Amino acid sequence: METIQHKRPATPWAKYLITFLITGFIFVTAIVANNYFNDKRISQIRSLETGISIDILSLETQFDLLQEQSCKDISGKPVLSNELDSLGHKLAFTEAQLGADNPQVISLKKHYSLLEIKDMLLMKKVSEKCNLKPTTILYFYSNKKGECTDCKRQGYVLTELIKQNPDVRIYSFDYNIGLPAITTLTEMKNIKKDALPGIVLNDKTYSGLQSMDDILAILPDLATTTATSTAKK
Amino acid sequence: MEISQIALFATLFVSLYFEVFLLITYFEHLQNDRNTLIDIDEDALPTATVIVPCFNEEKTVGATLESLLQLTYPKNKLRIIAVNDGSSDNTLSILKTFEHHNQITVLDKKNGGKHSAMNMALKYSDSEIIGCLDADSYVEHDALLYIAKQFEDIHTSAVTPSIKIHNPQNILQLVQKAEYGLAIFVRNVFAHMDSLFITPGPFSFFRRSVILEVGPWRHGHSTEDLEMCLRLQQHNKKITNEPRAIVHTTSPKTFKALYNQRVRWTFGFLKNAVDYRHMFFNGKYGTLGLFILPLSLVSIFSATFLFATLLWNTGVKIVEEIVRFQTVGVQVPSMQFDMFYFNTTALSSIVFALLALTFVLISIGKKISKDKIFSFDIPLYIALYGFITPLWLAGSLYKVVVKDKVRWR
Repeated sequence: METIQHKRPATPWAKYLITFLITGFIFVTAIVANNYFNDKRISQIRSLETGISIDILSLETQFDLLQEQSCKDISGKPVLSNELDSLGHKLAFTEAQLGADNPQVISLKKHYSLLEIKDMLLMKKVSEKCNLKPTTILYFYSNKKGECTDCKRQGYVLTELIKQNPDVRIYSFDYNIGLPAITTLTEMKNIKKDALPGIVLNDKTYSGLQSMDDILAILPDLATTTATSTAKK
Repeated sequence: MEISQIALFATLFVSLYFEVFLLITYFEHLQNDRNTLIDIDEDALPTATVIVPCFNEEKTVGATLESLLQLTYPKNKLRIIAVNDGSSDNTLSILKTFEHHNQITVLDKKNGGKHSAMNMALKYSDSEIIGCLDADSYVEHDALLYIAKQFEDIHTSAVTPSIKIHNPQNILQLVQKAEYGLAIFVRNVFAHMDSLFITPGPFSFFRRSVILEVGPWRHGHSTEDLEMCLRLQQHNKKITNEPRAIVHTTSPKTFKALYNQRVRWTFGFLKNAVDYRHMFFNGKYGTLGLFILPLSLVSIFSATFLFATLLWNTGVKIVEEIVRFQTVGVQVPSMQFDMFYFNTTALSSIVFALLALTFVLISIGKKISKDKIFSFDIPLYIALYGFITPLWLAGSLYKVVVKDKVRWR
């Protein structure tokens, strides 16, 4: 048995190229699909915002038209907080996917913040006229690195709070959104950038992380509800 | 896009490119493989010697020799040389119990490493083909027939088998089972590209005349099988693979043993890569020089980077969950499903494609080595391998840079 000199096959340049094209195709497909799904998400958020905007406008108009007689009707209406809360979650997810600097995300957040303020003002008017006492929490946060180390924890606390008390209305605002209305609100509520997270409970501002116990101590009515819902579990 | 993200996508692109390249090559040669039918003419079979180097192998060497005695091969054409390489346990006395078999020769020497045992046995053999079987491995009865058939091609200088994990019992061994399945596929495809760079210890065979031509086994930084293969490639020798020649090898049961084995392998590759650096990016060595060797080297660094990123991201998630737990206690995850939250990032889609392709490659490896395709080891491999590999890759790099030597055990 003898071996003869072995000749290596020629370098398969065509195969290298075909492989490159196939791999490139997979990459491009992944990127295009990602863009497509992100666009779908953004349009879904936009349509949610439009829906909420119409609802608020409709409620405002109805309120203006009927004045005091409308209390029964209005208090029987489904509250918007659930929709706003769901929209907030979707917006937060999209922000995590596309980045906080994405212009579309910033635009959606601005719109969302304005809707929150509108809803807050409307509910205030409704509450005064109809003698309702909704629990409202304003939450100011920052997503900028190093600016608010406790904002994540505060987010967890408030998420848990609304889970246990679905009727609580929590309005969250990005301190750095760059919207004049938010700037006015932060000035009115005396929210400082270096003391975030900032929370407004019963019209009183609290700086720094407020734990669940802290919030329940300030809002004792919630403590009863929370205890009941926990006991139910 | 940050630099780390660009590096991540570049690494994923190269990994995916490599897998696609292997798959294309496999399908390119599929028809050839199908046409290879076994048709044995006993008279035409070459004389063969199997060398069994042993160092403290008292637990397994008996079964190894028994499996060799069961080989379907003409008795007058097969010789087995067991070399006791200075064992300090009962290996020698176990070997001596086999001396009454005409086919078996037992040699005893001072410990000098596997390559020295191989070279000693080489002097006692005049067979046309010479193979090695590690003393912790067992062959299937028809393995040598399949191997010998490959030597009918006069261009063939060496033939590698398919190696499977013997009796995997714990999770670590199941992960290795899938890993070996992938290695069977890769070795088969590398052979089609003339790009094998390891002739594994368990049951690789060499034409004796070629060994005499290129020189005996060397220490090769404790990876003599890798060094010999690179040397054969350097001499433009053809090395093929026979996936139906099946060998079962004992695998490390503990992480420590696995870690030591893999550090030795990776260390050996890195050191031999330095010795044979002239083959890298050298068109004279075809796909091996231009693509496989450079990519294998880069993959050590890129895999370390990829898995470090994975570990980092997992660590960040764990810390987040701990913070959440500290803040609000145990959370019951929401059972509501909303397509909106389905992860569709380009990164996750590409990683999914990579893992799916890995699954396909392992399955092909299992198919060509006559194994069950669907088993529990593949998901285990996909879930766990990424977390353990960086440990020995980093360990090998450290040893190359700082210690400059590894131990066998």
